[in-house]
Amino acid sequence: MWHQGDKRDRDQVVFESSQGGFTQDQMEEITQQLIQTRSQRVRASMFPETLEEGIEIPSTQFDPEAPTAVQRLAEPSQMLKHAIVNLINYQDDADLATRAVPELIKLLNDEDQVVVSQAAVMVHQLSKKEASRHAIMNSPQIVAALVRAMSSSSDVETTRSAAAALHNISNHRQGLLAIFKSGGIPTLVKLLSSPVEAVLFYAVTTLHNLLLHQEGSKMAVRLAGGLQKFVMLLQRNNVKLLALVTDCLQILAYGNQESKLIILASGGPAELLRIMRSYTYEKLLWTTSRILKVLSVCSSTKPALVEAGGLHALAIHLGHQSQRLVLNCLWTLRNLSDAGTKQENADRLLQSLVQLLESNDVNVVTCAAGILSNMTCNNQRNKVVVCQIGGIEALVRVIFHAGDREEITEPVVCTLRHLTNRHPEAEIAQNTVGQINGIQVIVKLLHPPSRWPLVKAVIGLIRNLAVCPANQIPLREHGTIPTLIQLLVKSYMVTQKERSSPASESDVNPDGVQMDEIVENAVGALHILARDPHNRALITAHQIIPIFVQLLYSDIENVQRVAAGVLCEISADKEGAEQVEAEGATAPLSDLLYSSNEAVAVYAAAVLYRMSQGKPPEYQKRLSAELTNSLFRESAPWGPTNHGREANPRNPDEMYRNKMYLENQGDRYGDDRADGSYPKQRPRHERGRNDYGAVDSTVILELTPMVSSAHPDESPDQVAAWYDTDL
Amino acid sequence: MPHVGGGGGDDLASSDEIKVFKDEGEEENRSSENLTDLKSSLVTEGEEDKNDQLPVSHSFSGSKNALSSRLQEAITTAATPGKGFEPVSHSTPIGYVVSPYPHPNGTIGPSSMVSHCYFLENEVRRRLVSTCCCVTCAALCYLFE
Repeated sequence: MWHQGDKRDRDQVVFESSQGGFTQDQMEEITQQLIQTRSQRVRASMFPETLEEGIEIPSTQFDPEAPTAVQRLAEPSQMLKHAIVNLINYQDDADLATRAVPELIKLLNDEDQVVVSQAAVMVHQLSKKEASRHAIMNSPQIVAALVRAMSSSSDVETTRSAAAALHNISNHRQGLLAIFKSGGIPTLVKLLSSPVEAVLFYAVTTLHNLLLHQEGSKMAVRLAGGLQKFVMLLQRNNVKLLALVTDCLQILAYGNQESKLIILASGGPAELLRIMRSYTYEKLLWTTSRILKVLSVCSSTKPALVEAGGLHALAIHLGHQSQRLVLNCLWTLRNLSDAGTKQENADRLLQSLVQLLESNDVNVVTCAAGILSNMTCNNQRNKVVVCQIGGIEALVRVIFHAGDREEITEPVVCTLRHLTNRHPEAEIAQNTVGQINGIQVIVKLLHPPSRWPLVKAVIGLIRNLAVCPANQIPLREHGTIPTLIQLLVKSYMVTQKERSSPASESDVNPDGVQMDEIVENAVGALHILARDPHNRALITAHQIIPIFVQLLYSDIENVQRVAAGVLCEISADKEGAEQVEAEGATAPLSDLLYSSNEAVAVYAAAVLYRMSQGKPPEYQKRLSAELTNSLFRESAPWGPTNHGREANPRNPDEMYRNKMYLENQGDRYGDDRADGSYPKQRPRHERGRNDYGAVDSTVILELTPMVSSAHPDESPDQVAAWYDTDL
Repeated sequence: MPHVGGGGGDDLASSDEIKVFKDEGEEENRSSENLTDLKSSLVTEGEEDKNDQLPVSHSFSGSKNALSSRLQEAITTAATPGKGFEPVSHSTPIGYVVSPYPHPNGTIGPSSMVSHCYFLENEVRRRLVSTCCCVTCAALCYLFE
């Protein structure tokens, strides 16, 4: 730097710079100048906007590389300046508002409507700034005055300003509470009918904030008739408004049955579906799909939604790129699907669902499968459509990829089970599963970690697959029979244990599945598998016949039926017949001859007949008579047969097989009830009666030739005496 | 979910089964938060439409002048001594000194922009002397001298 030079040489250059040399006197003069202009430099640094233009201030910066202290402080001091000004203004706002509030309250309550109006405008202005807004929120009286002004005023400006002010404070908890406590909700609900859009928008947004964040608001809005008003607003065309209105409805209706019923009564479903059909704004579609989802769980609104075309309206969006929209539509569809199985023209929906099975999203696949399961339930047309659009292949692919995720595989297996029976293309479907190597992965699902609901569904599917002869080999090769037998034994033991000693509910119905249903399904599957001779031998080798015989004593007709059915197959072979007889089947079968269930009686007759092969002719003759008496008795529920018909002597085995063929094929494709009703769950012991189609009476007639010398005057009781068994 | 047994028909196959689903989802109030933008946009739309349809004048007629002065009076009489607040005449009841901080709800009407230079300096000096005691502030005061 520079320093004061020697006194002896005041003219000597003591400082050198780019401008040349300076003497001592010159330096002193410069210094003085700089001191005098110091405040100007500071002002220039802190408040440059206050300087006059063109003014030149001497600089103390001698080294271009080294900024002066004031220069270094320039930026921080600017920031400090701004902070202080902000503080001043904020404090001003708060102070001002606090002082103004009491006065404003009086003005809002004034008799002169013009005064009220202007006061409302002022409050609105105050509500826009953060500091003054707090003053308003902290004054319950001013909020109450606003609500009153809004409620009682006929002046649009007053209402609008007050509504706007309330809207501004509704973004804060304190404000919400103040509005709620001063009874703002009924007034706001009233404003939902306002013809002034600005007012309406403020009312909707404020109510939305209240519903979201203020406890007690939902009930208050409901009590004030808000639901009906919101439903009315669904007729508007402003997409943002509609999005908020539907969201409000969703908040109000979630978990609240009464709200759903009110929405239904106000015509909500039709308007909501109109929105789904008419708009493309994603947010609106999403919020609407959510309220639809909430409504779709209610048993009263569900049919209304289906009847108003809900399935179609939702199906439109299944290809949308918005995942949240697709999912909400799927959940809603799934909820509705059990009421929608009779809907016509579901083709588009079915197409979309089959496509969605390819999705990577677990939820999407699970939902799609669940919907397909219901849509294919007892609906031939839907079954055919799904098969024709590659549904079988898609479903099997899902099983391949799903692993042990039961939430996916269970509805998929149920759908496959529906698709493999009771429609014109069932055989093709059964065959297709085998063709695409689906059997192995399906059989695998019989094993742990699969739980009982899945196991039950798989057993039913296996039974259907076994109907297709081509599938018998792969079924056997993948170990189906031993696994089924294992499951049968396990479930049978549980049912026996339950009879002998009381068991807990979870023992008898683990995972909510009744073990006697497992027994019935497993035996039913073995029945069809036993058509194949190799399978028959395998089944017999597993020493399971005793259980089959025991099952003949069951109280449940279905169980009797499948047990008699599998024994019928087994007894087709001589060794099998002998084993069946050896296990004491004759007695229970003789009882079952008189069953009110025709299928049970016919099976029983067939087994007895087969067991009688190779016995003395006299024995056979008496048996034939007995069989005739039982099958053709007048008290039989399946009615008298056509005795006048000419019948050819036929092998009973063949007759039996004819019966099986007829039943499998075409004359009874399913139970699409005309009235659309579904039978309610009946107690187990009652099921089976009259649930099934009558056996073709011609088949029964064909059994008569074996009766070469019937004794119609002999009563069944007398004839039964020849049985060498304990009845 | 509960299973309702479907109708029978073919006595060999197990009957088709309907499943009843009742999935209402979770109470997704959180996801409603992304409607905040929607709400702001809607009220703005309402205001803009209102400006088109309803020309509102903020001019003060007789009773409104009385109102303005009433409010002004209230503010003035409630002013505490020593605060140094000078009631400044503004065209709207509420005027501001320089307002550099953001206005989330939109700006208020035409702010009164008093001359920055002298008013600001005076204000800063007064406030600092009365309230602040940090070294930096003291330094600023010094710089103003």
